[in-house]
Amino acid sequence: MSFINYSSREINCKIVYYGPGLCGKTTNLQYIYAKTLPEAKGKMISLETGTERTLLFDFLPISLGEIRGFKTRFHLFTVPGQVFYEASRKLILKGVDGVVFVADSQVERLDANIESLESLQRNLAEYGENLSTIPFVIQYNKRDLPNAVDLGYLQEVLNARGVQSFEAVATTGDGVFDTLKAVAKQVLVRLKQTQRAK
Amino acid sequence: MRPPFVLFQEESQRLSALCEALLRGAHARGVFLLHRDGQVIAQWGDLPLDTTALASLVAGAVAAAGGLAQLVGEAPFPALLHEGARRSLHTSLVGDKLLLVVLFDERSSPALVRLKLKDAHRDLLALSEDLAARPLRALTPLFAELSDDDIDDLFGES
Repeated sequence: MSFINYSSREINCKIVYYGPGLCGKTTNLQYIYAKTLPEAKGKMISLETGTERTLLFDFLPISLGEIRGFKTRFHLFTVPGQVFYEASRKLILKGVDGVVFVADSQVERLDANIESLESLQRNLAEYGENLSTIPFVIQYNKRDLPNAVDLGYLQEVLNARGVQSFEAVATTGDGVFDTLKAVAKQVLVRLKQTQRAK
Repeated sequence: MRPPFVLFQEESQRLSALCEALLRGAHARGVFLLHRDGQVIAQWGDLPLDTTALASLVAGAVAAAGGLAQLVGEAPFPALLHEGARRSLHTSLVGDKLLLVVLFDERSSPALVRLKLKDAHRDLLALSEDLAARPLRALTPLFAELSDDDIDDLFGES
């Protein structure tokens, strides 16, 4: 849930990167961390298992600049991708303002993508949210790999709603900031619309 | 989408008075008021700390403890104590939205912190109810004035 503080003149929002295990969620955050100026980012926290797999979450706070004198700060979280960490994934979605679904483009991971997208829908529903009402973008990661599935087929299988989507290679940074900017913009636009609708 | 949590200047001042009293009374090194979603609402104390990181980790710990409570058939645990050799953290739930974290060292004790928290909780709950009772329309004058161009400017697209 976003937090607007008139005293410190800040808007804080929460964005969650969701997707199957090893799809590149943590790599997205690592790239953003590496390429963001020190004054615009906080400490990146990774709660990992002994084998560098995300156990609870990765967390990175960044600033995207000012809007009408208010600093805009986005708290980026990843969820653990492995199937058995479903409880952690649900906890991290609490209060989310926008979601990036990171899909693994490899043909072998098609089922894992579908399963993860279904888990996202199920977990959002528990908080009374769904993918039609929440700011949501899809990132097709690992587009550089030889076994990457044709983009049109991925869109057909994973993006029936036709939401904004981006091709990416998170290891080199291709598409990483485009994805982040798109979801951040959707969050602010949605906040504005929500307030006007009241 | 849930409405944002909004805090205005005068409410910040009320919070400051409450939490500074708790900081002094409990001989604490820091007092942090957090939203349960992991946002820092306000902070007091003199220790240089990464409070943004603290908020996300505390929110994660509270959420995990809540999951554990549910698993053993218990209501959410009202408080968590992380007791260290030099410094300790006492985290308590304030209503269903806020968390109050007290950081203390050898100048204080868990018992003193708990004692001083009783008054602070009562006052914070009252403030929290006042916040919840505000009319929705008055919440965010910022967004009433915000234009599409303002948002485009932020992303260098105008």
